[in-house]
Amino acid sequence: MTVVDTTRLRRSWAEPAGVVSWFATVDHKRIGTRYMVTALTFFFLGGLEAAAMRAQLARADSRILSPEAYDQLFSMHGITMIFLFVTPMLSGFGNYVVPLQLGARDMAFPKLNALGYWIFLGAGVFMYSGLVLGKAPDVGWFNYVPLASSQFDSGPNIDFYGLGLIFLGISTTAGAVNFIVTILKLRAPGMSLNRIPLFCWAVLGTSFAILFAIPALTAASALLELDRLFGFHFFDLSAGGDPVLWQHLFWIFGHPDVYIIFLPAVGIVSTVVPTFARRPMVAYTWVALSTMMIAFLGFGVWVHHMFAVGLPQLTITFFAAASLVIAIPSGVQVFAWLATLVGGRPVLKTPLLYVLGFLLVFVIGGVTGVMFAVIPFDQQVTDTYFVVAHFHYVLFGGAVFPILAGIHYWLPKISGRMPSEGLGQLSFWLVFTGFNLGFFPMHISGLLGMPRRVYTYPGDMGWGTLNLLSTIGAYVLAIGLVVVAVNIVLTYVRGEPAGDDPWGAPTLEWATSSPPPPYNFASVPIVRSATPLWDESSHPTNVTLAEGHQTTETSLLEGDPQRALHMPSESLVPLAFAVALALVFVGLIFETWWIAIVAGALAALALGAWHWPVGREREA
Amino acid sequence: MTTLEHRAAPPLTREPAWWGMLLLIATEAALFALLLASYFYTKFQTEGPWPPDGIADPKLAKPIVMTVLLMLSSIPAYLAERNARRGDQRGLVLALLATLLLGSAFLALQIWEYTEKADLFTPRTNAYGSLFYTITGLHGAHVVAGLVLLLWTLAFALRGAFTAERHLAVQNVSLYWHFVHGVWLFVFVSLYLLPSL
Amino acid sequence: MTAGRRLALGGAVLAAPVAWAAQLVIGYSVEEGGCSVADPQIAGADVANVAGVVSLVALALALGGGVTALLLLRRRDASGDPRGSVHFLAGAAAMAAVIFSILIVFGGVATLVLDPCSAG
Repeated sequence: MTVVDTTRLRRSWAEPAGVVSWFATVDHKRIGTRYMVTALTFFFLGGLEAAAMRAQLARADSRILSPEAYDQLFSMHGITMIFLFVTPMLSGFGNYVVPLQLGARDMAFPKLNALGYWIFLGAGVFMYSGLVLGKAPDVGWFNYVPLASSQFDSGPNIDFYGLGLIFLGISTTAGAVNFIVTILKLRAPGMSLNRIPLFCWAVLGTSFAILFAIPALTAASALLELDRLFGFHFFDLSAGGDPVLWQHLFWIFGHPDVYIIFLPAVGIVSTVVPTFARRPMVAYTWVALSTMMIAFLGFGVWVHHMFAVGLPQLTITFFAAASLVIAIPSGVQVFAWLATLVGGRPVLKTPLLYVLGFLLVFVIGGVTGVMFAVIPFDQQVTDTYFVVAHFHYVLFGGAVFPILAGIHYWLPKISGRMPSEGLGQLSFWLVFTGFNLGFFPMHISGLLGMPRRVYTYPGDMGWGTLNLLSTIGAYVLAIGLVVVAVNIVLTYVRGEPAGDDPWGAPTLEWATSSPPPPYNFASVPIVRSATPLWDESSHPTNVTLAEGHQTTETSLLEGDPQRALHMPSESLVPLAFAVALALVFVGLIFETWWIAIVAGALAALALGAWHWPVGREREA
Repeated sequence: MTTLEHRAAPPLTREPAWWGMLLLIATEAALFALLLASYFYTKFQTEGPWPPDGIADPKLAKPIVMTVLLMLSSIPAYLAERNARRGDQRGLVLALLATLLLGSAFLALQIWEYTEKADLFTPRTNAYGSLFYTITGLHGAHVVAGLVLLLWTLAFALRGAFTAERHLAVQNVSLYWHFVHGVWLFVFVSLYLLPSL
Repeated sequence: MTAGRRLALGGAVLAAPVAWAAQLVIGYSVEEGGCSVADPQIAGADVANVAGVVSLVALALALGGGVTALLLLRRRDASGDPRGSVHFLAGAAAMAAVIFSILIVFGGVATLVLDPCSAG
């Protein structure tokens, strides 16, 4: 280990303490942490909505919630969990971990990164202000027209959905562009394509999927808002429009979005498994390629959400083929994890426990998913609680278990302290039991015919016991999540110091101190394998790039160093731009056009300021 | 950095921000593709003639001139980048000016075209009208954005801000302008040429 | 790495996914357009023929990518591939060719059996 003088690095990279710096930061670690904290706050809100719904459904003929309130709660629960929790949470991990795993000092576009966070925060607050006003979206998270058209839903409820998602899409897209360029161009010297950590492959695949999926959501929402606010006719059958167009556009986004949620979670699993199995991942090439292939194939399956719409047979086969074949790369990954675990010496710590929980729950979700391919069965259970059970097994199992694994895995790096193993294992068993107790009975209530999205049910249907079980399970699950939260807080308060690499992990984020210094790495690391810390020949160099904000730019294929890249310092402009954009959407929702126009002009000015100083640092 | 292995750098390496612009263009291209797909989808779902409701087929004279203007404007946009790389300041300014002029002429024609179309139908007439104005309007907004960026770059070019080594803004504006031009070809074929055949 | 090898590698990686995407998009649009109530210019039989030919061309393209990938894998040139990334990409291209060829065959077989314009 070369000893380098870090005073110059610290001088040029450390952001000053204080309020202004808090708003102006462009440090990927601070932004990543913020993403995670904000997303977890939304997770808490979405959980409260679920708790309210479960309280209502615990017994028959309950009147705790009015039907209107219930509609808004289940809509906001779905919107929150999908758009405001899972995706931003995984962006938070990506922001924090990706530059560290690559041996870089920041994301490729640090100011754009700050902008992405502020917009996410603004869009979340924007959508939740609807709930505060009692006017939240109320026709479910996929918002089908004509129910969502102004004819049947005249208040601002749906506008909070349409405008909010357009706004949020800017953040997601900016993040995706940033991740792609960072992973392709800012890797440590020697990190050729076949040495990129699997989590980064997952983020790369996800980001490409986002780039082509978000425009579909933006287009759908924009057309809907043009219909609603300005009297256009895209979805209006009486004026030559077609409501099914909404379904196409929404699912062109919606199905890839399942993989956008699932892939980074899978990346976390592929990170945790080799560390705790104490051996490199089996079939690295196959897993990396499977990730990219799932992201790509995800675009070929959207029509399978619409088999009941009456499309031509040939069309259906094209899409059904993709829906079948996508099981191949998914299966490859599962077998690679199992082989790694079987061939290694697994250490059963909390992160690995959550990963095992993920495997079990996700397999059940997969089995019920295959059951939908039997068309008569599909038609029998469509829109019942069976579907609710299925997608919670897939989404909670496929995303939340890996997220909890990731929290326990990276918390030592982020906080510099070790979380309590006892509380971690306790939280796992509570979450695992509560989840299964809560959601497994829904399979049965669904088979007994209980429709989803009903605010209550009569007592003589025989659904009472099952629903009571579900409610008890949901509250056990909630207690488990509270234990996770307590564990996080206690880690900061009195955790043991973690050291650089408490798990003995192989990737570069563990090669620096915990928490990492503002410049991440004192000197540029060199990488000679996919597991650099398990490998004698990968080592830090004596190259420090200490003259100002710099990181290495490397070539796309081989990771050859090309030049030292100057990075921007902290700035308030991203926040100003985000605020101006938020005001545009505020103007639109109140249909007060002058606000939107003035705010749009301010946003343009902010963009001008963004690019003002022509010099070495003028790029995003 | 001499201690690092395999140091030889390829001759032209694009900066990260150029890749960022390329990805932005990819996602925008997807947006246009989806809007055009929505147009064709609606067309196929409509019984009877297209455009519907007795709206006359689009006239081609002005759109053809607009297409030619935009195609021509890509040439100075390319030359601007080339001149900047050669360090030719005067050539850079002239090329940017030429792109600006051709783009502005396109925009003027589009406004004229709109005033005539508005007598026939508006976005609120029917789904065809909504699609026509949304797609051409979104493209028009991209032209306006491109013109603003060109003006911005021109202002800095006049101050001599770009060197042969560093002229990222010129590269990115040029790339963006080629995209604005490329998208228009699809818009022109779908919305003007095909219904008139 | 020579420009020729670089080109072959890029082509091998992209061929199969592009072929499948083309089959999906062209097949879908031909059918959506050809079978629509409004536009009976293309009859059902033509839809099946066009979709079939598109599938064959796509399959040829995907297999071509696979063969290129195998050639690149066999002619392993250590001097041009110091860190194994060319080998990695060629392997990826070969796997992609297999999976996307299966996919194209699945979609293509349907054009032989199914009446293209009947609703499912």
